[in-house]
Amino acid sequence: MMIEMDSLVKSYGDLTALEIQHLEIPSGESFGLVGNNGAGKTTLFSLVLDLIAPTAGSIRSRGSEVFRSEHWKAYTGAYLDEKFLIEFLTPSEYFDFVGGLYRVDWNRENEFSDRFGVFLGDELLESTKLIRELSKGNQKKVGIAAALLAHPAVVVLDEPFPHLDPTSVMRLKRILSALRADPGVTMLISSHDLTHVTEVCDRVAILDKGHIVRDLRTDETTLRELQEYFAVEPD
Amino acid sequence: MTRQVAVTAPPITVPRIPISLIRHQWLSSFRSVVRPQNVAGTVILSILLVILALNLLSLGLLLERLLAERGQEIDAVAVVNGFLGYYFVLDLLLRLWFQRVPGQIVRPYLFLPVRRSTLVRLLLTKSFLTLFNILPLLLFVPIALRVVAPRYGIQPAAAWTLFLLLLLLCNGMATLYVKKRELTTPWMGALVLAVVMVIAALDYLQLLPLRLGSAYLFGQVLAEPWLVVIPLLLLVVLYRATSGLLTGHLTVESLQDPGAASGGRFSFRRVEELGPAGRLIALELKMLLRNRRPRSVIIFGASMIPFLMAFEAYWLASVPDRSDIYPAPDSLVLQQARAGESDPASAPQLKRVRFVLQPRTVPEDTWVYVTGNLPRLGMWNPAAIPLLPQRDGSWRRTVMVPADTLIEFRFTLGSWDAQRLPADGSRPANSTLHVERDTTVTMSAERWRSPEIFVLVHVNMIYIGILLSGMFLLSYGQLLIGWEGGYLEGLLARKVSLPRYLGSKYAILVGSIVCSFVLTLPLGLLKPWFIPINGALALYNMGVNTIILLMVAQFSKKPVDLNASLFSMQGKGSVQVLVLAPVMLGPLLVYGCCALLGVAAWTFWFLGGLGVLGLALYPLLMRHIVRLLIHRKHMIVAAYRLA
Repeated sequence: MMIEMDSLVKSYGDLTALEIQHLEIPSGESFGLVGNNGAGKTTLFSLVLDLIAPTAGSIRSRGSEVFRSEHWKAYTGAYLDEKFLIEFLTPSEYFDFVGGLYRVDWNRENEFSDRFGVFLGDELLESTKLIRELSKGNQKKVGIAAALLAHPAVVVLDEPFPHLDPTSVMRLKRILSALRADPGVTMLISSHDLTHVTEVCDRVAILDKGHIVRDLRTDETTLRELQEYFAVEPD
Repeated sequence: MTRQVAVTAPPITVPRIPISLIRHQWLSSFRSVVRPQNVAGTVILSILLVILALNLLSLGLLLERLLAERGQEIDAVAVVNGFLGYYFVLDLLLRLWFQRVPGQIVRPYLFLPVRRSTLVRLLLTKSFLTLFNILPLLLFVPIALRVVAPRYGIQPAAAWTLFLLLLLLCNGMATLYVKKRELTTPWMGALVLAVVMVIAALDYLQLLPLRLGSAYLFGQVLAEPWLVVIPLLLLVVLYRATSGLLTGHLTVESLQDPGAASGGRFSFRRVEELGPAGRLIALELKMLLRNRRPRSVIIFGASMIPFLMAFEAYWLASVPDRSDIYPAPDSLVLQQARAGESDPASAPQLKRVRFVLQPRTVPEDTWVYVTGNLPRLGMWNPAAIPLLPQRDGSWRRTVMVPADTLIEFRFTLGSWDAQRLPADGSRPANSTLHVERDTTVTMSAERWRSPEIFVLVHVNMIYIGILLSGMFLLSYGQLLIGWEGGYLEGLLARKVSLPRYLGSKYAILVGSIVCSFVLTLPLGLLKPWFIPINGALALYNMGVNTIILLMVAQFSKKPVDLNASLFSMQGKGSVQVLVLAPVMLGPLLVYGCCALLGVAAWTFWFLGGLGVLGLALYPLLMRHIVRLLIHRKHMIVAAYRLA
């Protein structure tokens, strides 16, 4: 089992932001998370990444508590939002830095540019612009590529699709589908876009007001089911 | 035809706009300063500002007394005028570095039907209200009232003040012009600083007396008040030039502060190659150099060093060397002996007062004088009445004084400077004697005690020394973790080991202390014992203050906006302001303890020892700090997300 959670609660004062009795994400699975604003998606991912402390309960990655040991950091790649980027570096300096943390030389043997060259585009790879001078979409591309740079066994992406141009969305989907097919990679992806998430995930869970209310294996009916769940009652 | 007319005379007449624009400015400053969630910080900042203002004010008021108490017949106005030249050159320099074109304030109006000239006027008017123009007035106005007006009259004093104010405004306007023309480069600042230092050196060596020139110029203003017209005309010219320049390019792009652009692109490859810790250090260095706020912290710290050095040099010059210390006669206990029977034959109204200094009370190769409050005692002329050396090594002199008078007197080595005045400018007390009959005044060195002047000098040397090697330490270390506010989550969620993260911070702090210390070594030329003293304080900074700052950083609550301006309170809560107290007061506390135990001179040994102890205990302390960070990191992230 890659990621496990038990009686996990995160509350802010009286407000319970997240409450999960039990959730298991097996190794190699790609797990999608959908839900409206405030449902607790980012909270869940922040808990998995030990950025916030749970009020109660446990989260284990490969069997050890994420807030006890730091082993999970070695095989986890994540991008939640711009707070993961270092605004005053150029994209290539940022890849240098992140690669250095995992002792991966991303520039060697063109391996990285084979994987992400098309997605990022040459102008971004060779850019002398600082990350803060990039558009939101380009910033997101840099963040996602950096998360995937060190071949992580666990990938955590929060809302990877918004701000990207249509072509980049297609390319990102292709990259994520390839990761989905890789049995060594476990993915956690949240999205507001029901179509995208059903296309790249084996399993989709609906989070509503901090609770997992549906947990579906993806098949042809999943998208319709999701759409029905979120459908607004007609006027 | 008609269309063209419409273009040349656009129907933009909105007379009430300027008033509402001004109202917006008022609201914006009011609503950003008085922010309820940062009451403590605002209160402390206001207190600091008030203290600064009071300091300037009291300096202005006390200046004359300070000068008078040096005991010399100095023309206070000439002294002030002499320094004004320096002031305006440095003012210009500081403005070039720190004064911003307040471009942001007109941005929201650019696409609204408001005339460009109105916006430019708003911009320039707002720029008059900078602290650069306001703070100096707190110094100049009291000087004008207390020093200038009594000597030259109200009108010249008013003209003099106006002249200074106009010069300040000219400096401000010239700065805006130069910045708008993008004539500034980092090297230009360094160049101007170098020029100023050369001028100061020439002045010091009396080769090119800027002080005399400045004294002459500002003296002329007092003599001919109409000269005020000159800076007024200059200001008008500068204003028109700047406003023309601004009206020509009033676009979002041109209003961007050039300081906010990317800046230096050093890659620090060498540092990165040192391994994982090296990469973190390199990242931190890039953060410092590529962002506006940390960059101005560095520039400010570096430019404060010469000022602090000058200040320190002033104090050092007023401290006697160990070998210079002689039993200053004033601090001796007066032993007064009646000289037996007075001679009835001598003139009844005059009595004989014999001054005797015992052997070994007077330093070698000097001549001792007595002076006092009567014409017969030289009317405080420090070299009027020499004592005469005797064969037995004592010094004597007899003076006739009217009977039944209270005389005040004092011994000097020929000038008031050689009297070794206390550093704060106050005098040691005069000795007094009521003369009723012939008297012998004997001074001996037996009961000599260490002069109190060292207390003040020590205190000053301690806090200046802490600042000299710790200017950057304080301003950067105050926010320490907050600097990463923008990307802390990215670091924490990745393979960054916390000990290494904190270690890289520590390395940068220690590095900055070493660099600053090396920069201040030239003071050793003045007094060699300055080097060990400041070395001890640098050690204290390294071993103790760094640890304090690393601990307190764990209570950071706000991420730092890397593009805020230098003196911004952004990112500073009460904790960040309060931490400066132990950092600055700690060494003084140590001094206080040493002084109470009667071993004040050992203070520097103690401080250095504490520093070495801190360095030796570093692994232990660091483990504790890492544990603290593990405990606090979720709170920091949560606070940063809320901010």
